[in-house]
Amino acid sequence: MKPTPTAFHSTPFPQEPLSTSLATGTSYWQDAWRRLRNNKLALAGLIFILLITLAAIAGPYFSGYSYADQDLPEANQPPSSVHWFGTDNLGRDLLTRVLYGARISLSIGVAASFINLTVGVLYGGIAGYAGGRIDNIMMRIVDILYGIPLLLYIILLMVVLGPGLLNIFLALGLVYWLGMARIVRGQILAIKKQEYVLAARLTGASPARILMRHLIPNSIGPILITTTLAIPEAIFTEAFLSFIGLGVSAPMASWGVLASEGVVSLRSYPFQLLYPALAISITMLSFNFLGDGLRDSLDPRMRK
Amino acid sequence: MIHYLINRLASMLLVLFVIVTATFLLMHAIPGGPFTTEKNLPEAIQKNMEERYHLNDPLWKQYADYLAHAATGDLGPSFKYENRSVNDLIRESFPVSAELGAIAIFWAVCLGIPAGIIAAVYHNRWPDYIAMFLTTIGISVPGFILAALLIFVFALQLDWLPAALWEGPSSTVLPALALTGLPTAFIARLTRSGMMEVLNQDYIRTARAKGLSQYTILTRHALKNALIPVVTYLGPLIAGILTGSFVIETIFAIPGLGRHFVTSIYNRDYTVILGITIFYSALLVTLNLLVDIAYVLLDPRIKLSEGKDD
Amino acid sequence: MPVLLEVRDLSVTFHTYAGTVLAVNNVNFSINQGETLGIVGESGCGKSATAQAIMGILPQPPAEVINGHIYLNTTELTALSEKELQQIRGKKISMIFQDPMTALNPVLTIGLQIAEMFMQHQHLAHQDALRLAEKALQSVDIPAPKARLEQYPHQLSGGMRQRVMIAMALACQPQLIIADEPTTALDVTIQAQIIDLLRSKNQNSGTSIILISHDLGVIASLCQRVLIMYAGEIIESAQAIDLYHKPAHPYTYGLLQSVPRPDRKNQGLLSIAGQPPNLFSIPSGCSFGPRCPYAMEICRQKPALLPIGEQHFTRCWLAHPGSPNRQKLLQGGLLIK
Repeated sequence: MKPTPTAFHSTPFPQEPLSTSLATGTSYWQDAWRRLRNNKLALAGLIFILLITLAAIAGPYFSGYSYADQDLPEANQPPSSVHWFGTDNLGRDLLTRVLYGARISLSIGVAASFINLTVGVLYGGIAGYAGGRIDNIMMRIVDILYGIPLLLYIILLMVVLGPGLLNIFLALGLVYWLGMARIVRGQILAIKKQEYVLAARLTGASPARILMRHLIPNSIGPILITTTLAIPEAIFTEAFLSFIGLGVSAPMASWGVLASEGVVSLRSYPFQLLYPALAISITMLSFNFLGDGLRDSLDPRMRK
Repeated sequence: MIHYLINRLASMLLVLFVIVTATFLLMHAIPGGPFTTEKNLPEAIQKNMEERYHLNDPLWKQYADYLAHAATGDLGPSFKYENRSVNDLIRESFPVSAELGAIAIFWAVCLGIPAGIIAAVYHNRWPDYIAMFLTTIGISVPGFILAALLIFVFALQLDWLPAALWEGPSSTVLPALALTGLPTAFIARLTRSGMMEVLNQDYIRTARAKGLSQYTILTRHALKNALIPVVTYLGPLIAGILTGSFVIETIFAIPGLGRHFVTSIYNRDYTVILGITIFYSALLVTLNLLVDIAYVLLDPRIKLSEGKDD
Repeated sequence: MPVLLEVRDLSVTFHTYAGTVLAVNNVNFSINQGETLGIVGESGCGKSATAQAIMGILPQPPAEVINGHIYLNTTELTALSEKELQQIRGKKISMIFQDPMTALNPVLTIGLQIAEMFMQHQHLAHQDALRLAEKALQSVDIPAPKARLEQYPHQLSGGMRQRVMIAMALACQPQLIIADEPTTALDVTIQAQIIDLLRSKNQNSGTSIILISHDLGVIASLCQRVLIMYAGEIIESAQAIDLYHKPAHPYTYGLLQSVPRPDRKNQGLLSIAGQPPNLFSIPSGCSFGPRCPYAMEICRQKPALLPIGEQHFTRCWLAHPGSPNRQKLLQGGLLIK
């Protein structure tokens, strides 16, 4: 191949502007969202959660029945076009009762999240940021409280407080923030050592400001995951409590109550257990799938 | 090691103390006494009962009495069952629960760990997908629902296995299955994520570069590291089996400690509630200590004299 | 000296969610028995990928060896099964990695990690293998070898851990050691010791060594021949002396210039202008072109490896017979612009 006459003339390459010559990076959140979108199960979970929330809020208005309407001649009817889920032993429409149960379960989920997000995050944040003796004492308390299964506590509390939705909220509130506190503290301890925190301190930011502006926003990942995964635990707790007679009481229709009623007539009318059981399971599944998906997509190590 | 043990024992006692106190106060915070139930007892008899059980003594005295008794292992009499003490109840029913729990733990470990390993090694291929799907179901379907389903299918429809009571080995199958669902799923997941994390480590790459076989790499290099998070979970696992037993024993009419606990809640039998709570707590705290020791044995990097920090 | 390892037309891609990266682009080289070869380049230039491809330990996915043949003596490594490769790894070719803290298993004793070489490749029993492990530790000058057998990696210093890695690598007397940045994670004084150790193994046992590093000083102290890699290609290959005194590629020249020298105090720090190439979209001409102060019109076409001296090749149009600068290149040194 014969080179052209000008081949060896000095001709520098054009300098590309920096932005196009670097590989296009994606921000942490864009990348996470993209990964989450690709996770079919997590998406399915998210969609189901949205659907059931809608159904819980609006559904009972459309069903034409209330959760307490008894219709004894219609008792124990299998699913039909009139009663989509059938009726229970007092003739109450199961679908409506399941939807009411959804309200209860979801509101417990919301309450649990709220407690996690306020008490848990603040407690863990303060402990993690303060460090030293304060951290030691605070975590000591957590460790002691952690030494007993939370369910045991809640059972005892419910024995004392008596049945009722409000009492369940109260019992959860006293106990449910422990896990989140630990996780937030761990996260803060790790972030604290990073340089932008030092920079903030050097510019005279107050501890509260550093906590709220820097440390906590950067812990959003684990906080989000823990919250999402705490909800099915709360739903399970309520169902469990109601099942053994400590939760909401009849005629209110929580899923746990429906399940315990359904177990009694398992032999003859299995559908009375099937629908609440499905409701509990699929809801918990959805939150777990979503939480798993969040955990996978927010994990920085899996960024490629 | 000794230093560490003493430290832990001290914490244990502190925890137990807090539990006893908290539970005691809780019990006495309930409006009315243990005898104000549906039974309409004539006043004289009610007074008699209160005398007998020292319910008229000032609170602090009752507390001190209880502590003293508890320290010597005497958890007091049951209010509802006239001639039986709490200790008797526990002695009778705990072995049943222990057997059920042991079977459940056995299955959880024997199924969960291999499942997790396979899922990790075949990451993102169909064994992994199946494992993840099944474990999510295992985590999400509450034990009592699983129990009901198992009874429905295997006892009622197919009549293969007994639906209740505790007579002979076939009685143990369904309850153990229902109880082990959640723990197995959890262990499988922990093993899987632990194993996946380990397989990405540099020392696994070194092991491959040394020409070791896949089997050797998995068993000698990877497993010990991957099981560390699983061992950490053993504490909560046992707690979960414990609480799971409440409902499982109730559904299957198994005469275990869990069922007594549930019944005592119904009956508002305070000494029994208190006693069983303390027993469970002591059990859990001891088991947690054992788990921590096992943890240290697994990972030589942990130094016992260090305090717990993250 | 007979050829020990030959790499022909090796190309490796990595599949990432953002696209496919050609990490190793048609690499050809060989190493003789008893020779020490250095591979120099920046992070991301493909040197580690090449090394791992030789060992067959590239994770596939996301990596994929799309082309190439690698020969050890007469055996074609690229045609072997995984089981057969396990016979080669650790026994005929060994590898040493960069960070000895993460490269050693934290929950296994040092003794076991060395002994398993003997257990795997020489089928010795545990006790016998441990005895040999002790000897292996001695041979890399680790004090109190018997005590070390029971210790864990976190109880040793960085330099000692690296010695343990070397002992592991040498245990079964391989013909070739590939050392991937063995000194990067160590202090300078320890670096010298490790290099000395490698050199003595090469001289006493005739073990060939491929030393990968971005540190020109370390390469200079050990290697007889050097390859420079850039953007997945070999852009210069020469005897060490020729490379350091008569670099024939602008990149090599830039690398050498950028090493701070105490005798040139007032020069300031020189660096190579521009950014490393975006491996997702490699330009079609010479990959170094955009950063090259000597770029010419013809550099828009990809140059081949051209001879410029005794065993000296460069992938640069300046070396082309038609290039007016070729003479300057031959005499050694390029003009500073």
